[in-house]
Amino acid sequence: MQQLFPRSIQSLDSIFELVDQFRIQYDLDQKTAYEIELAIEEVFTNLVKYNDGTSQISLQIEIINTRLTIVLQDFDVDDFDITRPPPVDPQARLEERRVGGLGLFLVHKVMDQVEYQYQNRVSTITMIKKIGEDLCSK
Amino acid sequence: MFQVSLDQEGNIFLTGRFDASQQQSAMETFNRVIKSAIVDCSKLEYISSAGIGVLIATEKRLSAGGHHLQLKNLNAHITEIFRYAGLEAIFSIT
Repeated sequence: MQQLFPRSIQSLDSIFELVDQFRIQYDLDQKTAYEIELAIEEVFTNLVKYNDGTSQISLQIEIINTRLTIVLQDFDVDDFDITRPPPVDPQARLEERRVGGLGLFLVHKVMDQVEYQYQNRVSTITMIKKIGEDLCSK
Repeated sequence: MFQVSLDQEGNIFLTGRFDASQQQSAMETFNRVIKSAIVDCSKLEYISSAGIGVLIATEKRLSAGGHHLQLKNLNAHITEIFRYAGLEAIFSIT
């Protein structure tokens, strides 16, 4: 599944609709669907906030064998690796808590692999998650 | 869809999906909370770091005056996300 989304936080509703279609198609459980939505939201909103592009953002989701792959591509932008957030200490006390970086910290928790590539002014974030073997046949 | 509402005692009810597109309007409602309050999450389906940020900011503001948020009825998926983020040490969760 691949679709382009306007560079706006308001695109999240449409993104979640696409993920829901994907969940139904592959009969994914709610936990996996939550983690996919969370990972996509956190990366998408960071692309919207921190990249300087004007193009729509591409989202692709696929499952091959036991690998779920999510690819977000942002076109005609400067080289900025949003997958390396400032360190987050989950043990920090309330007064030391900063909100910045928490989203991408969670992305690394729910995904098995998060990669950033930059080529020809295209920023590509690829997230991979291993899923149950019962989905292999779909 | 996301809704945040307050009852007459100042307790907070979250319904639906608390994502980044809801952060600003939710913050306006949370800013009306001025004392310890229960946050009923029984109808909360999803929360991202944007929603968590609203909860943390509110807890920081309230705790300065000795007040706190108490989170109730989180679903299993949200509980797991809170655990990843170490939020059980910050909030009273029941």
